[in-house]
Amino acid sequence: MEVREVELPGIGMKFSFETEEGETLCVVIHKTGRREIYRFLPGQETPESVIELSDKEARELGAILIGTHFQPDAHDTARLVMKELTIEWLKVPKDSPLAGKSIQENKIRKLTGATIIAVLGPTKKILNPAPDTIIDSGDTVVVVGEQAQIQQFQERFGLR
Amino acid sequence: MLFQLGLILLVLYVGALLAHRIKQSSVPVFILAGVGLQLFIVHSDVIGFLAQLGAMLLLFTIGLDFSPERIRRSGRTLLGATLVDVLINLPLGVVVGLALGFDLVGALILGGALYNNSTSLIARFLIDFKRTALPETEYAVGVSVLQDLITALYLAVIAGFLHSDGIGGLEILLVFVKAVGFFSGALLAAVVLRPVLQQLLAHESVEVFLFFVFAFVLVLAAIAEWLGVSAAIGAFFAGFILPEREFRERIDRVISPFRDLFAAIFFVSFGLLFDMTDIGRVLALSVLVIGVAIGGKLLTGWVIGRLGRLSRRAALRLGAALIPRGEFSILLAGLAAPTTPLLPLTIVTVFVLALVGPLLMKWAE
Repeated sequence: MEVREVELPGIGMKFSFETEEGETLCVVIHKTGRREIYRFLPGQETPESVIELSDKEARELGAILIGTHFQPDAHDTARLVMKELTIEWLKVPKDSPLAGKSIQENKIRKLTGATIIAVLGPTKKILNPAPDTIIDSGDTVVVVGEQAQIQQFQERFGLR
Repeated sequence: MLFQLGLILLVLYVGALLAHRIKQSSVPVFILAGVGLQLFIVHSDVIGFLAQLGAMLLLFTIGLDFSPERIRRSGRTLLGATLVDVLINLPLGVVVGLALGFDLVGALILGGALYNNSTSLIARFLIDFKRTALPETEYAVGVSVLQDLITALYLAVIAGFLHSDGIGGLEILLVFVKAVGFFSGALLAAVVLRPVLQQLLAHESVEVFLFFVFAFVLVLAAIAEWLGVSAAIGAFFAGFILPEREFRERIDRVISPFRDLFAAIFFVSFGLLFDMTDIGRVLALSVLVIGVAIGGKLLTGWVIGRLGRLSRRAALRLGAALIPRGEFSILLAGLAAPTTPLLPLTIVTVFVLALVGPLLMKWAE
């Protein structure tokens, strides 16, 4: 998915992308913090609908959309990209070297620079896990780091 | 004097309140406030000086919006659109000026005043009309920002003409060399001094920061004035040179209250100097000039829109969005000889266009 980014001097920034259905979504972030979401039907030049949000509402909506309150079963991996940091939700497959071992044993931070901030499983939810926390296959680890560190983490431990 | 300033600020307070309420730009309101204040106070050197400070701070913050990187980022389509805009509106204004019997400098000033749009007014109208996401908006705001850079150079050249005794071949060359010299000097300084400036600006104390920025602006303005390229342009390039990205927000926070205060006095001073009897003198002229101002930009929007593969409707909307003129036009007209009616003419034009602009935008929908 390609997000087009345009600066609108005096107004703010405009981000737009095309959805799978061919609609165009345009998000305008005003300097004042106000957000507008425009929805254009395929081939249309005037918006079908506009949503206006305050800064606070937009952040709340963003948190809902990203799955903070409810993670659908549909995906085991997710990604949240901020300015310099990336937070990634990654499912641990059976053949991953992570499975069945503690965080410490794998020297995750030392080897990759990435940090595990949560381990989520069907019956567990460990926030800020201790170094001796055991990760099981089928768990989802939430890892934070720079883009490159996360990538290294994924490659080294066989997480897609 | 204290009483006069107090009165001005009181009227400004009411004016700003009113402008906010009726969702209008405060610029015409402040000018109108100045006209009303004529009943109580006369323009003085002190007001003139504060107004000059306002003009410099205004141009400084406009200059801050630019940096060499930003111009590079703006891309080829926007540069093309800017070229269309210059080639249509500048010559149009100059020709109309000459036809109306102004001398060459006067005609050049009119050309610049009709060419330059008010970025802040355009942005405000586009936000109000919920057009920020439409394709033509990128062109409208992009073009109007690049205009300011071109107009700044243009203003420098005109200020140079006014300083020299006549417009002979040699004078034109000299003025041009000075303006280009100042510009390239500023640009070179921007590149060479960037790391140093970055370090100096990073000082944690707000006080140190404030004095540094003000000293920087005033010294460059003084150099520019000494060279005969106008203090306001010096301030503009001071903004251009400062590394904008990291410090924009801080400069904005520290400087913009001063800017808002003195720029308001700048507009009031135009109102104070505005001779009501001039209205009769410029009425017929202004009808014509306003017509040209609207026609030129509608044509510009149409050409840019069609070249950029926008729909007819979007091209029309783009032209309508480009109608408001503003502070730069008034600043340019302020350079004109007081014997010519250029300043009152421009003030009336800016005033009417600020009111007509939104109406035409609605019509283009």
